[in-house]
Amino acid sequence: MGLLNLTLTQFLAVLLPVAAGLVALYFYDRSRRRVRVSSLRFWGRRSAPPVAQRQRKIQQPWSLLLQLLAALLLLLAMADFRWGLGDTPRHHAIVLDGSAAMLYRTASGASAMDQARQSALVYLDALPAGDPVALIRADASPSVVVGFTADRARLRQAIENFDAGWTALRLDAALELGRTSLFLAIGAPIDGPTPETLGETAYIGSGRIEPGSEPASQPPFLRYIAVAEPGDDVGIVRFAASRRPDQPGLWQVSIEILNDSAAALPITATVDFAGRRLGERTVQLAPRDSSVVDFRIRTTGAGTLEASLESDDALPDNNRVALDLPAAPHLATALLTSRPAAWQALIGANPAITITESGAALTVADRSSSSANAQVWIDPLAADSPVEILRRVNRPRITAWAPGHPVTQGLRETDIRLSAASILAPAPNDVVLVETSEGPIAVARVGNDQRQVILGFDLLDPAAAGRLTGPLLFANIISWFAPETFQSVDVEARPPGVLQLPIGSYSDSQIAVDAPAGVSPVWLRHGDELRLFRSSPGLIRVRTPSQDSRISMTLPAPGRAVWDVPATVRRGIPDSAAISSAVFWPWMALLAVALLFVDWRLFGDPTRQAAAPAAGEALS
Amino acid sequence: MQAPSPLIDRASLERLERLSVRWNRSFAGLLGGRNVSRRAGVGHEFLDHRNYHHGDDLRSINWRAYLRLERLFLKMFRTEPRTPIRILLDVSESMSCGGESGGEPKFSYACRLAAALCYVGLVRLETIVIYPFSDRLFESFRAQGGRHRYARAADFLEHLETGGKSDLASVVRSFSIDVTAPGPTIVISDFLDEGDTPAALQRLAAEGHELALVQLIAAEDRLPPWDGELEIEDAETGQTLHVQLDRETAEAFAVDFDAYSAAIEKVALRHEGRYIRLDTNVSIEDALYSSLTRAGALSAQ
Repeated sequence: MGLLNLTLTQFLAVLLPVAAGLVALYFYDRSRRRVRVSSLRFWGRRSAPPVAQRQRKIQQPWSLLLQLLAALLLLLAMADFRWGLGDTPRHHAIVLDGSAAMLYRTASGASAMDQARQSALVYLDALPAGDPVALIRADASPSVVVGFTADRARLRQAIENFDAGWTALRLDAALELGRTSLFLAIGAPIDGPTPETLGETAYIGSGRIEPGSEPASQPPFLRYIAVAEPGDDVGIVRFAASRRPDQPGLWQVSIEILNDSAAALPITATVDFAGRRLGERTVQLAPRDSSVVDFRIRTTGAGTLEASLESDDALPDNNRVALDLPAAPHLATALLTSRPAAWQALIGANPAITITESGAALTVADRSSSSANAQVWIDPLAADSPVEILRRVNRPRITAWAPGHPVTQGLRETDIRLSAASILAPAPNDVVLVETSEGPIAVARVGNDQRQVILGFDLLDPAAAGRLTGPLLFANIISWFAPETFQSVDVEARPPGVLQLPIGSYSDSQIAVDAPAGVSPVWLRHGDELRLFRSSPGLIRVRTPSQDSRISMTLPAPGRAVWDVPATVRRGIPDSAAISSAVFWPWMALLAVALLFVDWRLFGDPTRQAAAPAAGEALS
Repeated sequence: MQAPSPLIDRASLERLERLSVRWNRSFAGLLGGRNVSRRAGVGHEFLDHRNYHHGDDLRSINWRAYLRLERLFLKMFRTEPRTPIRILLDVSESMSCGGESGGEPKFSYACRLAAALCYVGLVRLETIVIYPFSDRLFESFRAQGGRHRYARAADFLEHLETGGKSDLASVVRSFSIDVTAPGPTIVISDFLDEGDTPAALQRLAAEGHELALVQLIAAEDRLPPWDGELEIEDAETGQTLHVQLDRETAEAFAVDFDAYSAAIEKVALRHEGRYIRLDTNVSIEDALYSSLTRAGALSAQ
């Protein structure tokens, strides 16, 4: 026995004021009334003696009783009074599909999410009012939106504010979360037998799941409320552009297209950059097949690269993708030297470097005293050197390279004997880069906003000719000042979810992971691979000394597998009558109306009280 | 309380033209009796032309006809009845009651009924005199000269207001002083005053007037529709009475009311008059064509 639409408290909160109002109206109606008559000629003769004391007593108790009973029955009808609900409320879990599959549009224009929300509200209304219900979001990372509560207004608001996400549905995880929540809510052991008082786990969605996420075991009392089956979709599942540092003006672009429909289709992909059409390809795709279309773009400027498909399908969100391509790196360098021809080979090896005389970002002073603000000093004179020079030595042999410093990364040769070198006296905060048996000959200095590298020897020393040490040291110096000139750039659009990115063998301190528009995600190393998870759309940037990966996780990823619903699963929205054994509200409403009619006929019908003679009848 | 305006619409008035006011007796000075006078004489209503004879009143010659036909014709006028039909109309405060259980207030009903009777009389070239009264007679209004005089009579009725106690005995005394020639007299009232109304009506009849008593009642006048504890207020005096009303008491009330009405009816019938009890639920046309006609106060031609 219970109330389906109202709790007992709500029922009493409505009934008591209504009953009080009825009694008050009753006393008001039955209290002494003042009436105006034509004459008192006949009133004094037959009527009872005047009432001595004004008393408000119940003069027609049956009328009052009938009215109160009618009000009670009407309220019980409104509250949907039931027999057989039991005294213990049951817990129910609504597992609402929030995956990208709910972004599909139906023929009516509404999304599958709209239908799912509506079904969830109807299902919520069908449940007994006192039963606690939890709302669980089902996507790649299921979560509890609203914990178990009987507050229907809060649940309704949560359902109405529920939006579809961009990840594929992991149904096994969502149903397991629902089952676990139910067991925990009623205090039953998770691994124990199913309690009889357990309510339903109602999955409301399209049944499109991530492949491999079919539930291994069926939760108890599982109900499947299906919304519209997703329609055909032709979409971009990955859009990437990459640039190598040795070719900073060339982008390799690839578009992966999936035909998620039952028919083979010709699909045309177009690529635009900065508003200009760069290319167009048409591929013939078999049903459920995918293909990769490649483009090459030559540009050194920044701009928006956009890929789009000519398709009018049920999921328009993956028909168009845009990526922001960064400009090619550019390092304006001032080379103060008296032997520019000798530097030609080193400078020309890095296409990002351009020699300039003004506005330089980097100044290299080769035995020059004309620039006191140079960042790179090559064999400076004692009078000009930013580091004190102790003495000049001949044919020193390099004995050690500073370990772990970016400038000396990869340099281990110790059998190099230079023609000559200046022994430097580094400041306390200076880092000695190169040691000889005579003392340090190269230091790195980090000032307030400036870095400096001072080499006490000639980088183009003929004694080291034919070795890689010189070019590699120069490349490291350039990389230390402008690392982007040595990085490959990968820009990619892909669905949210798990990201696995090869990053090489760099240490964790050399890896920077950040989200420009949010909290930096948690990541972990797994060998030479970086792994992280993101459930919502957003941008992730991963930087290593050799790589700059900008990953836009903004492509929807509807599940590509269809859940094979077991036959034992209940289906559809239950009739509220099916939840309980008997429905009384229509009969109670009819009975209440009948009681009101009887009350009116017995106590309120003026036509029964005044039986005037035939109107207009002449008695003459 | 005032009477509604207009009292009766034009279409309803036209349907009343078949009716005429009836009375049984002949009264001294009355030329027409129950029929319209056809005797030519001094009057306002044109009747016919005849040839001019020597000695006729030159003021009655139709000079327009002479200019066209070069013959003298004399205009003849209808002689007016000497004794008018008098309508005593109750405007006491008790007439403002009614209408709570359907129908309309007695006063507006009475004014509309008086207007209808006035129109019926004017159509037949009768002279109608309306005497409003409560505890005294108010200034009367005389209507004569045909239907085109109805507008003034209606205007007079529309400007009446209820007020004061009803005292029919006092009114009859005043009426007897003012009116020396007896004649047909229609009394429209609820006859609900504290005095001896049958005796007053008896006196009126004894003075030779042929009475038509129209008793207007509202539904609550006869059978009170209320129940339980009541504070009854007299509409005329403001006097209040606390009573406990139940169905049995209300039915006893109706018995008393019917006995009172029977006493009034008895006065009318004893003096060859008529008594008509009208419920305000009944339309005016039904009352005229059915109740008043059946009672002999009106006749349809």
